[in-house]
Amino acid sequence: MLSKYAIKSPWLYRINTGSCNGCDVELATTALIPRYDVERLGCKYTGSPKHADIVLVTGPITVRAEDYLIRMLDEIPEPRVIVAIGICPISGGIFRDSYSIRGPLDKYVEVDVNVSGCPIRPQSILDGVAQAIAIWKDKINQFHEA
Amino acid sequence: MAGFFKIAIRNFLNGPTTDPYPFGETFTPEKYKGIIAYDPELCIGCSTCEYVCPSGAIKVTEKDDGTGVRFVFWLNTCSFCGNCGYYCPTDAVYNSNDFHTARHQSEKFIPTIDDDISYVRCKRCEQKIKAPVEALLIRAYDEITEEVRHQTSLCPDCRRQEQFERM
Amino acid sequence: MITLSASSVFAYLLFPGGLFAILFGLILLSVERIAVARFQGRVGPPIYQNIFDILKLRIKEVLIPEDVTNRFMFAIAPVFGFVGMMTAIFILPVSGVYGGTGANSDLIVLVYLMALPAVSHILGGSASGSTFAAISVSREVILMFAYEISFIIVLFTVALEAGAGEGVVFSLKGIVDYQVIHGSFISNFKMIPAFLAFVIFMLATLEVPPFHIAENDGDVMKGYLMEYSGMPLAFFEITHALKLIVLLTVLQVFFMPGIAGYNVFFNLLWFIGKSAVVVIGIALIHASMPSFRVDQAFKFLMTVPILLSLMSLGMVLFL
Repeated sequence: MLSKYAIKSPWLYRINTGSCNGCDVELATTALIPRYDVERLGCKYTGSPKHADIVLVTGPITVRAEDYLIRMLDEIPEPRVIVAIGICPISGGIFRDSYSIRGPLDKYVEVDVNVSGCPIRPQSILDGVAQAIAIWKDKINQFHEA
Repeated sequence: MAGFFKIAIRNFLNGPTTDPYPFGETFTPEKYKGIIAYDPELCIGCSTCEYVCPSGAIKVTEKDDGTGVRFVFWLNTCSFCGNCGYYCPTDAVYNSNDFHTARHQSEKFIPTIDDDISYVRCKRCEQKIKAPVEALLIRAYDEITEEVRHQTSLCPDCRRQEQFERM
Repeated sequence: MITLSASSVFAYLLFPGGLFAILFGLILLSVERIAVARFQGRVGPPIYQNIFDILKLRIKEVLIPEDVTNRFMFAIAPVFGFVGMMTAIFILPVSGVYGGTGANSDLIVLVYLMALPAVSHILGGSASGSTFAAISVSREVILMFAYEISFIIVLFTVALEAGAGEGVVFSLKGIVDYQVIHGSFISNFKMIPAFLAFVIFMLATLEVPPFHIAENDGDVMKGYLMEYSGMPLAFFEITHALKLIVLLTVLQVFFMPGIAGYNVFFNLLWFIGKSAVVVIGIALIHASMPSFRVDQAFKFLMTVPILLSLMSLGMVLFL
């Protein structure tokens, strides 16, 4: 019953795992630039992983970022949705054969939505967040039955 | 500080300038480099796109049963650089302005484009050849006569033989 | 003298304290978010957004970090601020709607109650064992030290002015009654500096920019709230909403308790309207200000609001 209201307030958290910052700039535009207002969907960027509902991961998971990513993912409370932003966390993209890349992201955690692009268009991020909210609703119901 | 107040109040009076996108239509520029589009009618299966693709998103392979060439494009590693469209001799591959790239995880390994180019038979010896493409003929010849059409419907061997016979 | 009666229980739990204050505070927080969005040219969230945030936090898993320094304090910290704010709303009069408890020196009680949300932030943050929370708590303590001084001076100025040269009125109801008869303090030139000082105090207590140094997202990652999740976090959010209502009510008790008539309903609407206008004013400052550094904020809070409130105090004493 609560899931009907809860899906109106997904809080977003961004994890940068060694991204080139292209995707992070696009993520910032979806919140900060008046043209693509992510707050209309009830979203809010949070500072702490413990407040997160939808996690947006950018970057190809470099060796240095690997430990921090694993620790960070542990700190995100259930029910949650993981969204891979950009081609780097999905498949490695153009960095796929590098010696310092430990991707893709679905080796570490169960990813729910992939939003590809290099970098992604802000509208695509809105698409991805909308899809993530739909998945999140099912997850809330499952979490409460369990 | 006064400048910021002025801008804030002006924004308040002018109203929001937000795109209605997830609930409405959005504007996409004509030249926006979106998801790759592919036209099998124009493709000659030359694999130039596969060779120039920096992220390995395109694979052009011979089919197992030998009836043609398979063109596979995987969206989830494409960096939208547009090299494939730039180097394609017949403009069979190009960037469309479609930006809907959000996919569910279950669709991750499903190729976005999976198309075949079938071989045709040579008129003289029934050998399998790649079909001649109109766009390539227009680029290669000043005018396309019946002679040109006949020549291009033959396999390279038969064509060479026919040229010799004519001499 | 507060006696336990049905009407005081009603006032504590439903109206104007308790449920009404929580819902009204959450809606005002959403109004602030919408106003900030509009000042930035965005659409902003719907008006029920913060209520849904609380409902959402209800279904989230509660995580307790392993390296919590004091598990009991970590669990109980959110309650301090919540209870303090509930009580503060209970003792505060809403002019023309609710008379408050009418206790004799409730103005002094208010000083202590107003400090409780910050105390709960400090307790919760320092018990959570996080480095970011520790940094944020030290900033909160510094800011609290700076802004409480100006609040106390403003409070004494108001009490002296309401006494009209014959003493000091430490009763909130007395202050409201004086202003209803003699005109609101906001129209009194002696009280204008005190009003400005109180607005600065409000901004600093509510932690809106430029004073959001203690819980800045990009800087200390929500600071003292960093390790909280689920229901405890919801408690902090509700406390924040109640704190907004308390500050707005205190502002209206001190400076503009004018009433719209003798109808309770119109007076309530007048109260809501005044609160909304003040919140939109706060949103304008929120939208157009960058953040202070902690030393700059301390310097600012130690000079500007204290000088303004002392100016008012001097005028009230010697003019």
